[in-house]
Amino acid sequence: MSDLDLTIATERHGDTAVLTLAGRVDVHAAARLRDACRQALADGAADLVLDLSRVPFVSSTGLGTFLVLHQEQEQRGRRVVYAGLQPTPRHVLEVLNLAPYLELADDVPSAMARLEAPAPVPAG
Amino acid sequence: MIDGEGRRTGPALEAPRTRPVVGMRLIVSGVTAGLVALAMVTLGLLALHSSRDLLTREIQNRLLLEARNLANLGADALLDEFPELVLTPLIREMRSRRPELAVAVVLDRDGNVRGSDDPRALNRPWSVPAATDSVSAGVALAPGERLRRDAGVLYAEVPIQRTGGHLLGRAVVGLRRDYLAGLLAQTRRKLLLLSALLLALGLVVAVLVMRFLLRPVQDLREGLDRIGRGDLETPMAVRDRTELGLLAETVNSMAARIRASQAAMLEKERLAHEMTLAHRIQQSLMPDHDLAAGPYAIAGSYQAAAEVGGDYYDVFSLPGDRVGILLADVAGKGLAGCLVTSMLAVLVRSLREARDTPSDLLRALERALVDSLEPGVFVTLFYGILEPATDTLTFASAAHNPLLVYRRRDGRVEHHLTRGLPLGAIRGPAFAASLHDETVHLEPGDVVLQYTDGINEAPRAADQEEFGMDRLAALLAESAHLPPGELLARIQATVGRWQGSGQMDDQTLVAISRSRQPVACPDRTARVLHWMRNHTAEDIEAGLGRAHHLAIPSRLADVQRVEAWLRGLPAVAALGEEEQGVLVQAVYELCANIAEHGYPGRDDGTIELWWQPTGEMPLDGHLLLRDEGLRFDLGAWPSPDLSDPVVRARGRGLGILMLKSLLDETKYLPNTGLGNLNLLRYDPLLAVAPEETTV
Repeated sequence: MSDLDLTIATERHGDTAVLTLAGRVDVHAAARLRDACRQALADGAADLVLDLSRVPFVSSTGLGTFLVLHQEQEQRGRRVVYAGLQPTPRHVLEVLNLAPYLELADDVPSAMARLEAPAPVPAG
Repeated sequence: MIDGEGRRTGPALEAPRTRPVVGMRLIVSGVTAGLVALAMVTLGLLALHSSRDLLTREIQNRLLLEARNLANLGADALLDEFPELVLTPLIREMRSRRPELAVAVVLDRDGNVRGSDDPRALNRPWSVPAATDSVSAGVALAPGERLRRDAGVLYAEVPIQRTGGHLLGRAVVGLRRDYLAGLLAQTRRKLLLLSALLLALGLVVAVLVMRFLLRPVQDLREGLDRIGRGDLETPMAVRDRTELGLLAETVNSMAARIRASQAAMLEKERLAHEMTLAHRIQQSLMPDHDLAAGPYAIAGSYQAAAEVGGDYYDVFSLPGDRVGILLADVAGKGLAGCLVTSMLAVLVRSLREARDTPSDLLRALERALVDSLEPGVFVTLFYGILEPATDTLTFASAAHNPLLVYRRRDGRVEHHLTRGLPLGAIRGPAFAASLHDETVHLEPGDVVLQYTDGINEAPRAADQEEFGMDRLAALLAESAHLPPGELLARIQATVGRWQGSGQMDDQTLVAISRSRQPVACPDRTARVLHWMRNHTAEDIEAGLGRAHHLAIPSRLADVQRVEAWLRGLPAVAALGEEEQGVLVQAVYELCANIAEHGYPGRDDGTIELWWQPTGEMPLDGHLLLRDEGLRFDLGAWPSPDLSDPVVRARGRGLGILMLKSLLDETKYLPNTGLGNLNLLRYDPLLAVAPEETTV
């Protein structure tokens, strides 16, 4: 079943929750991702890092979820970094001109490093 | 209104408001019958009254007669010594004969009874009771005669006299009045019965006569009912010569007039409808998009004068990556001109691929068309074959306008005229012989313009001066740098301003522009669409069947299978990883949209995909999607403005954005005979960022 394609594993590193995703992020998976993030935040995490290095495909719903998540974290004065975005989803992001509205990093370590530094000026 | 099959339709006639109609015949018959009844009753009463008098008088007379009779008989008897011997049996017989007599006596001059049927009364005095009234004489009484009556009896008293006047005695006859009353009652009954019969008879006759006389009213009413229902065909039978007949005649002629004007109106509508149809057919035969071939962009424009016109043009692909350009001008307006252009369109379509040179095609057209042309109908034709591979345009003209060629190298406009005869001008080999092929070589920046009379002969509003070739050439030179579509628009607008409000002739323009770089190729998509529009559903199915095909149920889980299929297509496999990914994403989003919006709430729909290669290069091809769900027109949805943080916080609309941005061309044909068709063209080199997207 497609909604079992995506696996989400959550780890805490201090105040940051790192969610490791594997599989396709489509409509059903996006919903589960939101639940997982909510859970992580409820468990006390402040910032989020999403490891997308094993996500070959992000649907429009998935991208929408990324945007929403970013806005919500911003509202809280927190951050979310999308790490290890694969070429295709990355390219799609760029074609759609959405890169300025998200925090991206090449991998999880650089994502964590990025979180050390202050947040960049929000775009838009 | 005429519907698609020429049937007369229209708002149904209102059912006539039914006022309660009181039948005139009913009224007249009723009144007549009433009058007749009244008359009969009055007459009856009068008859009754007078008959009573008559009868009474009759009875009285008869009584008197009886009394006189008795007096006569008594006259002789009284002279006898024993009159009762004669009188008694006489009176007895009289009374037995007439039981209604109450009294019958003969008295002598002293008042004694000398004759009676009752022997005890003999020789006794008797007289008519004093308490009697004298009856007013309706009868003639002789002197001495008296008629008296009391409650029960009517007495007639007659003197018995000897000749000479000597009074002998008196005869008295009395009649029981209840006998009289009985007679009267009997008579009254008879009279009433008769009256009733006559009354009934009179009524029936009256009613029948009225019905007969008023039959025209009934006919009139039926006729008017018919007309009220909308039946104007059946005239009313005019059967009588009274005013009713006149009325019927008037109504008939009125109905006939209405029928005639109805027919005229329908005819007019039908004609208007046919003109609209013809116009639409003509429009549909002409190209609705521009073409590009290599560095060449070809645009056409057509503007009809008020009615259907006689201009026609077509731009089409030919084998060997060539392009055919045809212009025609039929000298003959209205439906006839439109018919010729339609015939031309069909003929060109069927002949063009097999005719290698322009003059060959024109000759073939003439052979096919000339016998169908009415005498006096001419067609001027221009046909050119553009070969981008060799940068040449080869053309032939049948008396069409000179071809204008703008040269970028020196900014000048060349006029290329080939002499030929118009089609239909002359039968025989002269036409074929008059045609020649000419070739021009085109260089980057050159623009070729062909047009019809409606352009260069457009008269100026004020003084009817023609727009002319010089102005056209100058306009071409100064606009040559524009894309051909805009160039034509500018020419059309300039001519429009020149001529003012009234356009007398069709105006057609075709421009071939050779740009300095290769032009993005919308033509292939357009060509496929053009092909699809001009083929039947069966053809399309057959054509598509040769291509790679995938059919999936409209469930999101199944939509994922599209990726593997896509990546398996040779053309797609030849793409780089990123490019494949983008294409896969776009197609996934489109299929997901169809599954979600085209078949909402269902998962038993089907989505079919074909990859149809259209050229030699592996990237040349089209993705065709088909579904039979609700239409979902991408173009109708706005892209979300993601620069707005509120919009981003909603996170919606990214699918639309993806589809519009990732593909460089999408065409949507909803509700065709095959369902909804999505045609996608993907050229990774041309994928653009959202701001530059034009779909």
